[in-house]
Amino acid sequence: MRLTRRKEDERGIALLLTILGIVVIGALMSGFFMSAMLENRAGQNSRRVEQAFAAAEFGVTETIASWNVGTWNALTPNQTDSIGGTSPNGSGTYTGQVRRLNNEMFLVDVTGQSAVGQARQRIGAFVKLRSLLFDISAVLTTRGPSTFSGNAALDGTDRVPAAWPGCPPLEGTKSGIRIPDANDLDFKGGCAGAACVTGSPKVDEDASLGDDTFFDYGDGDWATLVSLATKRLPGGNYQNIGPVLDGGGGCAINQQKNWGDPLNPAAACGSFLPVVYINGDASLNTGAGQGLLLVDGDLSVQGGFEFYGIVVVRGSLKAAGNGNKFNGGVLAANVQLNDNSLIGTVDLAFSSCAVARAQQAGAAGSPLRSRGWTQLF
Amino acid sequence: MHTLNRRGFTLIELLVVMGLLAVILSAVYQSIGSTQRLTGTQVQRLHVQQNTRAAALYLSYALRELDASDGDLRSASATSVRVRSMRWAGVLCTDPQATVGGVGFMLRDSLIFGVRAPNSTLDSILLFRDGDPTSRLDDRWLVGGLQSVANGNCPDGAPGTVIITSISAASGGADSALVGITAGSPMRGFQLEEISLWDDAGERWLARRSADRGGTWTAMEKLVGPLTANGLQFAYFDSTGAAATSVDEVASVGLVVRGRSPEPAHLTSGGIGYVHDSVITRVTLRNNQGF
Repeated sequence: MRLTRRKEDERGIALLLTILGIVVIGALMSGFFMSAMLENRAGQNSRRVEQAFAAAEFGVTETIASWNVGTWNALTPNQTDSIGGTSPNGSGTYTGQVRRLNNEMFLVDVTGQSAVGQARQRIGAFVKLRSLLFDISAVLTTRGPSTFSGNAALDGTDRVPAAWPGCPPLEGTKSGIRIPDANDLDFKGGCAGAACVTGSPKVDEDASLGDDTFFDYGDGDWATLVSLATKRLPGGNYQNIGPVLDGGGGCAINQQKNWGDPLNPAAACGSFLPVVYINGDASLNTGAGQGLLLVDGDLSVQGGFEFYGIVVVRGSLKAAGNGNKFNGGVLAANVQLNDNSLIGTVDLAFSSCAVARAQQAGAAGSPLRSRGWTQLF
Repeated sequence: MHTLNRRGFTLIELLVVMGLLAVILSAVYQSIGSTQRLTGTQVQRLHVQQNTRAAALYLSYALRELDASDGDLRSASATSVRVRSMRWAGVLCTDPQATVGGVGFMLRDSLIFGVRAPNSTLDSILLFRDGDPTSRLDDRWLVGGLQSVANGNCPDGAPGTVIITSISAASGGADSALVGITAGSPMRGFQLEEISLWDDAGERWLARRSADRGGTWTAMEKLVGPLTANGLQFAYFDSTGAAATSVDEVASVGLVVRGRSPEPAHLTSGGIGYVHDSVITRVTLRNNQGF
């Protein structure tokens, strides 16, 4: 009875004060942590946006620096290829695409994302192919003894290949033949007196012609050119060169004998201009191709083979039979100084458009000189 | 007996309790007050931090897409810049044709990127001209005005936008756009924009105004603020990092943004005043002409 009474008599506010204290301290702490948390989140957001932006810029730079000549230069206008990767420090990733816009230009469209969170930034770059420069001021540039007869024709008059779109304005007429010593030329039969040569001048005797003329291409040399080759073939005989389509009607660019479709520029392989490297003597018989043809030996054509673009032959050039045509420019280095011989019905015609396209075939991408960078939304 | 059973507090007990309660309540009041002051200060600090960050972000967006070497930076001072502010970029899907009023062509809608669609009242344009495809040295952007915009279709049937532009005499007029520009060429739309430190009734703000194609300027639009009296400072550097001596030499822009809280707050240093914070950064112009 006494114990119960003592309990009833107990009074105090300790519990109340404790609870109040906890509430006050809790409020203080929560206010502090909320502010700190908001500051932290704002900072994190800014950091992630910067990480996403850095990842996107890295993606654009990386894509251009490691330009995929074989795949991207073979895209047709408005066709795309996917790209993607990770920033070197892992702070972000990027995805996007390379889109061909026209013969010379591409759009690299990249979206960067921060490694943590969902911050995204999208930027792009307008890219132009940076061509290697070939010293082509005549339809045929060569050295050493050269024989022309039959119905051979060399024409330095600039022309646009039939139905080729988007060609630049025509240039002035080039020389027919450029050679260090005109005494090495031997015109026979229908070519007597250089009657089969058209140009301004017909023969450009240029004693300065040397290895640089044939093997120095501005930003690269022969080895550079070979390294850019998208088709590598051993020496040998090749027949029926021509376009090959895949099952979906697209251009099967990996087929060894598919060297594009110069006669049908609007077709699936019309804009495909490969860099073809033949390691040894080559004999080409029938068919057509375009782009850049590199022959590490002698080149012999016969029986109606047509090529549009630039041909660089380390050895000598021989043509016989009917219907052989070269549109663009031919550099026959003739390093062994064997006889070049153009006999039979063979046409060599200058085309600045075909030369430019061939130069682009082996070209890497480079941002526009001005205003290539763009924020995409 | 009844009187003996009465319980109660003596006066002294009451005074003691009231004294204790006063002390306790005073402590509680001070704690709550401190919490409120701290929270208020933090809110102001957050406000300033977010403002300065937003200002720096906006200025970076506005400046990094410029090509100062080709006239995108129109004028520059310590507290103001006037620039060609890019509104959109697009890609042609047809070759240009001479037409009434200038040069006409089509843009592919799927390749128009920007903060808004092309607008013939507001926009001037830059049109990429690729003279010699094998050379970068003769590449340039023609300057002109956007005369009209209409819906259309590209030759492949994709949705497009019909554009008619006038090319400035300084860029060679309409004839210059008919050579070296083909389907696939890029173009850009821009407005002149002025960004400056703006005094509005004694408060400074990061503000902007823009001009339509005819040269009529909008009223100043407050973007971020308030800032301090010296809350926006630009410094201009050339490609070597030295101070630029003309606007076309500018390769990067140094930025200082100093923010001020909208309301005074209890400062950690004591007393009541505005909270200040600042952001310092440098923006490299991405589109200056290369080699």
